[in-house]
Amino acid sequence: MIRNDQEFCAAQRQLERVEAALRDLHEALYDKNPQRFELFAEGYVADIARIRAEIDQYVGLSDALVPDLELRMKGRAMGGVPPPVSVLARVSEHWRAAVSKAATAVGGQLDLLLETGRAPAPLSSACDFGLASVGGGSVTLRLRIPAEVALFPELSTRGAVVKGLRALALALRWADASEPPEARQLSVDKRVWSYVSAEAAKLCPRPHSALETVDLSGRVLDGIGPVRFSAGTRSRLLKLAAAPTEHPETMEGRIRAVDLDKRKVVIRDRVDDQPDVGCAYGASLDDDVRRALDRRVHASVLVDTGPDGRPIRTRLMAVDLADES
Amino acid sequence: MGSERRLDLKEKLTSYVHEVRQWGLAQVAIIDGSFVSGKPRPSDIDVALLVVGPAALGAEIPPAAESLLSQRYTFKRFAIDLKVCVNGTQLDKWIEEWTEARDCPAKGMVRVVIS
Repeated sequence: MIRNDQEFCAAQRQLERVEAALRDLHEALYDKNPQRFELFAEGYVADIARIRAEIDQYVGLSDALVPDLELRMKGRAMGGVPPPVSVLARVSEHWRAAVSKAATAVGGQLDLLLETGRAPAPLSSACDFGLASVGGGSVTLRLRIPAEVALFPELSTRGAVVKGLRALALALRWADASEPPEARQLSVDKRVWSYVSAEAAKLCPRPHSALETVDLSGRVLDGIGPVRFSAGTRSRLLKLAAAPTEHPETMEGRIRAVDLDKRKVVIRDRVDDQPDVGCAYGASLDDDVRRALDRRVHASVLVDTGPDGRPIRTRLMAVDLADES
Repeated sequence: MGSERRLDLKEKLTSYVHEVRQWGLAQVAIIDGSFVSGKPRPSDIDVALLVVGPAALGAEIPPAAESLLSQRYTFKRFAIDLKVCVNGTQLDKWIEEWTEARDCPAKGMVRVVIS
């Protein structure tokens, strides 16, 4: 690492010398045997790359060159140079959809998203990322997020996109944790976290597919660090996404169809003609439920919802008799 | 200076020089880097190798011999960061390069005569 201007000058001299040595090697060998020249040049090229990287770092060029997001995909049949267009198209589309939906959910519009099934058009279009470069070997995509529009900040989508990307990265990174701490860090509720986890799962390789691992890095992951995910991550995320989330609610209605053996009731005749709700209850409520049969009640329930926001089951937690008049 | 890592590197260097000598690939090696410094746990060995004979002239040599002149291969197998030189000018450039190491103003190098 270059620490001061003196070392910077020394590094420039070093670079000149290695480049001169490489030129000399080229003159001496290339015409005789180009493959041999390439072989012998390996050490020179590695040093030139290292010194140039150090210089770039010192003069502040590296930061400007760091992509917003880099995806490095590894696995069987991913070593094609250049990678097939079909692979790039598929991957780009998955990322566009997942990031725009995560950004919408984290941005407080999950209900809209569940209703329409798609992110608002400006976000969706902002997530059609610019391709900074593509590398072979393992397939590497470097993506650029639209810059902030300083003149019209209200038109800028970069902040929302970065937030969505970071939410996905956090979900991918913490898929192993049973209670991802970042849900709190992101200040999002469990429904949003479940939704983001489900979207993140769509980005993971499927079991036995040609794609085995994906490494994420780049500027938008500052503070999160590099992220690696695989088919194993996918199954863990799906479990996290499927974990129901609880919402306490109070319902007014009449307790009907009590099944004392299975401990189930139906709340009917609800206010404003709301639909009947079947509830399960625990043994501690046996007496209360018997007393409340056919009576109007205020029922405290916990509604478990899936990642799509729909109720999976409702549990009766307390029941109070209401005024019949 | 006899840490386990240094002993391991020394063995690797000895094996490398032995194999290079067996194939008659080089005349001299200059050794530099943390291995020849006082660093308790050196990471690798910098070697500038002055290649002679058919290898230096671009003529056909056996693949096993050729791999000993690949920086990637030698780094993986021997922890040697190799610079191959086909003449004294290139070797001098590397000596000059290493003499002006930024992080270690005063240090020496080791010259190993191979053939």
